[in-house]
Amino acid sequence: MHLNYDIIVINVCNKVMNMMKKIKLRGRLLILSIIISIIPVIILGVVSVENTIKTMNEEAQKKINTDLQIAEYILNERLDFLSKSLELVSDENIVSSIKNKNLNSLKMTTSKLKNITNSDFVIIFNKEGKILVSSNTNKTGYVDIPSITKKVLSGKKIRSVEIIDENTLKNENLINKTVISIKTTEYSIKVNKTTENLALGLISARPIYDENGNIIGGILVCDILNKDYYLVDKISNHSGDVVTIFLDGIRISTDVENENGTRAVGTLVSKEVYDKVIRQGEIYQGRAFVVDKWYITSYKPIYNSENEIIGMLFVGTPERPFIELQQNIKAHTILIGFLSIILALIVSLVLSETIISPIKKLKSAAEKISSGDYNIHVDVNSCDEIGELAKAFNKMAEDVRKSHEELKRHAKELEESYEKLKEVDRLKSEIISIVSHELRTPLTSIKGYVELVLDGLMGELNDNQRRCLEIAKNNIDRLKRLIDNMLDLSKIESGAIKFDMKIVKIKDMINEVLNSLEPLIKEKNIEVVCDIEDSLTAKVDKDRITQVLINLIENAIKFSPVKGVIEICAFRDDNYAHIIIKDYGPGIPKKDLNKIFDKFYQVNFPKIKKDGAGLGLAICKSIVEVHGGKIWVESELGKGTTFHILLPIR
Amino acid sequence: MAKILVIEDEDDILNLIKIILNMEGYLTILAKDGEEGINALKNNKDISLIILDIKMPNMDGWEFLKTIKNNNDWKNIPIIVLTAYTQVSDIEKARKMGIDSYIAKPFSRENLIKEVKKVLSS
Repeated sequence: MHLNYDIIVINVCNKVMNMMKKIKLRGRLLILSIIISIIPVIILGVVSVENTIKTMNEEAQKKINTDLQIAEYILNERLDFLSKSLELVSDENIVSSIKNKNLNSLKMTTSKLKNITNSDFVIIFNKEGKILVSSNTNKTGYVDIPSITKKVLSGKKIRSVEIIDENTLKNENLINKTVISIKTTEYSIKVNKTTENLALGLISARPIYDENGNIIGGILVCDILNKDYYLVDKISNHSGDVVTIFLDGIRISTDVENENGTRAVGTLVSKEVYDKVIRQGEIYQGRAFVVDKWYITSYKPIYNSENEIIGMLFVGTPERPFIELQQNIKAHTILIGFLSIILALIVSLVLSETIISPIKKLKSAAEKISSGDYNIHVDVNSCDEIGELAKAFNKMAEDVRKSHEELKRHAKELEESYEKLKEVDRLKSEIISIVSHELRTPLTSIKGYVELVLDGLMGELNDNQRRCLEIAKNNIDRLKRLIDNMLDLSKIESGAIKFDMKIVKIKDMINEVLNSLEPLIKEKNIEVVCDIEDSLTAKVDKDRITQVLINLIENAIKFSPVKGVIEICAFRDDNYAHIIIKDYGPGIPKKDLNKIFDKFYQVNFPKIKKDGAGLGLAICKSIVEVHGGKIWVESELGKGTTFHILLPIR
Repeated sequence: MAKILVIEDEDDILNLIKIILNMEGYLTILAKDGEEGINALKNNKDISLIILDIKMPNMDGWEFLKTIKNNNDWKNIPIIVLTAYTQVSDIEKARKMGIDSYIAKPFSRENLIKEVKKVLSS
């Protein structure tokens, strides 16, 4: 499996490389610069945005946590203030007032204390826990916070947040002020009641001692928190955050606002927070849905003097400004990234232009050179590799120009010498032609008169005379053939002869030749074996090729022993008709093989009389080559000779 | 007997042709160039064949041919060209000018006699 992946990766890389090769240089540089600029921009952007947002969130949370401590501090400060105010009240007066049953004096004391502390009610109770006097009412009864009175009467000072029951609130004429109607909102917990009749109060209480140090009762001051915004506003002013005091899960004092701008008193906390803080007694930190939007929050349980969780203190700040800020940062990062990519593109375009434009110059210069304009100088002055290339190119162009001029000079010289040669050749042909004509005239007389005598027209001849004249006549004929052949060859070579090319059947041509040579063949009793393709044709001048075939077959007959065999075969060989003429004569010595087609070259055979001029094969070669064919010979001394001819089929 | 006009600048060849033709029983009138040939034609109205060389001084064979072919009295006299010019183009040219036969030099006696007989009998 691993190996397969490797192969896939290599294949993909190869494909990408191949694709890259198809893209022009500019495109490749562009892709490269985009890759180089995009990857760091994306990484940098993502990392920095993530970091910033994380840090921001952490810092916001830290501030909220700190603010929660401030809130607690302010709450404690208020409790301290209540306690200290309580300490200022003189026990002596209260004791004497209790003894004298001077309720007015006690009432005065409570009212005064309530006013000083700006609290909601102050009560003084006796050592049975029965209320002697209250700042708010003349009714008497028992304090409905037994745990508090019990502790006070046992000598403890109380300073805590407590739940104030409905009866007490009613007694103290506070119920109308404290009762809160409950509203459920999105994500909030559900409760069965529609109003909250209980209240949360800051309570400070202490025992009252007589002159002997015996506890004769207690004094209690209570500041109700329900709908009392003094504390939350104070905390809010200090921290700038939103603050709420919860009784259980109900907002009783808050500066969180409803949609309509009123304080969201009576709304409920979200279930998530309730479970964690009220149920489990833990501090909640993080995002939370408050009334109608998301906040960065911190919630802390509020304990009463019995260490029971009775409510929560909340500090938070709306998340939206942060999110907006974060979105701003993201937007800015994207913008900067985008700009830097554009910048990278522009830079790469400019850069690629500096690479490509000299290359283009080189290209057009190279094209000019190939179209024959050699006076080229590429104007690239840079000191980089391309500059070096341009320098090398200029040098090359200069070299090419020089060697071109040299070539031109050589070509001119060649042309001149070719013209001279042509002239020489023409002269040669002319000379041959004139000479042959001039030779013919005396030859005509010699031949004519010799014939006259030889034929007995000038009188009877004896045998010796006849033999001598016959030798003379044979040599006259030989001289005539020589002249004819020389003229023929010179005409073929100079192109003076027009060949009449036609499609001819090879078999017919060879049969005609054999027919005309019949007397010779019979004379030597030679067997001719033919293997010729019936349909084989070639495009030839029939008379000329016949001349070639006669020459070659005549030779084969001449060099074959009596009763010898000659093999003639012809077949198609690619686009040629291939004719082979084979004899089993003496063969040709190796040293002569490549010269037999030369003019006037004759192989020295001791037993065979020379009767030609050594022009026959030279003429054959010229004729075959004018046809666009080929002629060659294979021979082995003592075994025979084979001639091959290739003639184009069309 | 048929009278044959032989025009040939080489004396030996002229004589050779004369011997051959005479031996065959023909009468011969000899001329050494075109001009002499024309004169011979003027003086002999009964010439039945002309044997003509091409390369000659004064008036050559070509000019002679042109002249007699433009003359109503002579244009029908058959002509055998006997020449060392053996190029195809020369033979073609001569045939176009209305000659009857063509013999290349050096010629054989037999061939000359054969051609003369052939032309005269046609």
